Amino acid sequence: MPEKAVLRVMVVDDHPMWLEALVDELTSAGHEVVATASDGRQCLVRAKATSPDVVVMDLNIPAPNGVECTRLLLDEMPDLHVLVMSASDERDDVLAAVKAGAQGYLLKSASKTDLLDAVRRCAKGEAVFTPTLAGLVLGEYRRMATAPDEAVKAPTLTDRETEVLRLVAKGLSYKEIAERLVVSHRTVQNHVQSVLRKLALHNRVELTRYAIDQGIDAP
Amino acid sequence: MRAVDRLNLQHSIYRAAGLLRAALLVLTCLVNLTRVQAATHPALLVVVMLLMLAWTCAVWIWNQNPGRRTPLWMGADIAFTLGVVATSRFILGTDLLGQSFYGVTVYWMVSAPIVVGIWRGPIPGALAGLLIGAVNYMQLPSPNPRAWVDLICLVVIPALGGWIADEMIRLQRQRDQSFAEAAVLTERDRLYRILHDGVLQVLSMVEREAKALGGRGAELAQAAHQQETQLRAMLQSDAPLVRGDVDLVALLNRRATTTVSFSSTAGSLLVAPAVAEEIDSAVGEALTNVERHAGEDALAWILVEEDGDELVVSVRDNGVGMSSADVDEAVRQGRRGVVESIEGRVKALGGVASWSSKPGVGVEWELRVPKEVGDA
Repeated sequence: MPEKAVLRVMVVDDHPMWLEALVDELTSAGHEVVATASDGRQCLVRAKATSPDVVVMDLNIPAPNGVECTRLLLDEMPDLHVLVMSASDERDDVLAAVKAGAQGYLLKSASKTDLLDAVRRCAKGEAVFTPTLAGLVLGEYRRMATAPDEAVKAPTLTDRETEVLRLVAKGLSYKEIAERLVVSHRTVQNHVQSVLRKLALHNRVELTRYAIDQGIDAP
Repeated sequence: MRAVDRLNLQHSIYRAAGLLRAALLVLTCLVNLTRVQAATHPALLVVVMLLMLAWTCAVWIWNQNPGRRTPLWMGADIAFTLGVVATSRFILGTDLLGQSFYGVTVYWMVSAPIVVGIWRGPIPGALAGLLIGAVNYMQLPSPNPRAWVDLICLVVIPALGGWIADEMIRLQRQRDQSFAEAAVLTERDRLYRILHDGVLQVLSMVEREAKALGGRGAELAQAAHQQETQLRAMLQSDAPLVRGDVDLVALLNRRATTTVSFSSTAGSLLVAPAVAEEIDSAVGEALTNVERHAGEDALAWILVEEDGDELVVSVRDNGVGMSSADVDEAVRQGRRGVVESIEGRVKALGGVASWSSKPGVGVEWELRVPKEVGDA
């Protein structure tokens, strides 16, 4: 995907202080903030109206929460990129957001450089993996592998994917991983993205199956 | 709501006792109808049966309202039953009574003591049963074993009924209490979450913005980061602790600082305190080594994994690293202390510690410890 210099970004946060700070940072870096929202409902309406390249999403927002919003937005706009930012890294919430299709996760204490870098990479369709998120996702795959007979066959990681994920969790950059495994930077990215994609796809299958089980028509 | 539940439970218990009384009345009528013609006073037997029917209905209606379950009423129930039981010999005649040993009430007489048992517990129930049993026993023509069995049943069954009712009420009360406690905890948890999220938001903001303020600001940012890391680590250690186990994830998370990142594949990993302490110390030594030798700008990462039957803890830094020549040099100078210490700690837990390094890419430790070590 060709890289756009100016990105159309939407910021979702219920703390005015944070909203302002994030908008400032993104604008001063030359990006265009096309919309902001301080709760889930605004988020859904405004994202659809402005179709941004990237949504920077806080998880703790008034209902529907960040996880729900991510799921609902990606249902309708599969090409949207959602970058989750959260102050308290609640493992379950972060995992749920990634399963809902979020492409990356940053703690709010991340530096401005990290934020801008993450937004840029997110817009390109890259997965933005922090060591914390890598550990979380690795743990989820291991949990699914040992969970007794789930109705839908759980996805598994290839040895290479596990290796890459472990290295991300140990804090290596994609470049360092590529060097260590003697593969290209692109290959590392592909592995990481495949890990996220499988997780999100599995989640989608599970949700549909659940809906059918409950007698609800899948949308 | 809960008081209503309790009333509902009591209501069901009294209703069950009422149904039992009705069922026993049917049995009584069947038995009496087969022998009504042989009775000394057949007409009186029919009258007594009608009285029992009326009383059974009255009790059913009366006992529906908790306010009406007074001592006077309960006494009346026992007195009525006693009165009916005491007519057995007169109505049936000694011969007929001697054939079956069933009085005019047959087993219906047990219902009133059961209600007393439900009302005031097993002992009053048993005493009421004893009273009725004794009167019944005196009516019988001879001390047949059947008479004894009836007497014992009249004591035991009301006691049992009372005990079961008490137990049910007690269990419900206990359940209500734990529900109430759980609700309080959930609410407190929710409030804490809101509070903590707010604090974390502010700390993160201070951390980002203060850097721009120069010298003091950088210190402030650093302090905010440390508080933020610690608070987050604390919030994550919510695993229920059993038999004194320690959450290794929470423990090692406390080692996160501005330069040390922490990540884990599990939300919590419970291990024996001794195991946690050894692993934590080993990680601490590895981090001290990073501080001393990796260089000023070196960053470190801790990763805790649960991999099958093993706990794997990795400590990696991106510092200057070391070559095997450096290590040989260190050994020659007797400075292998840290490496030996880490290896020793992990070996004592039945695990293996290994390290690898290259100049320029830092040092990576991997500590593998069997999970079951704590249970042995």
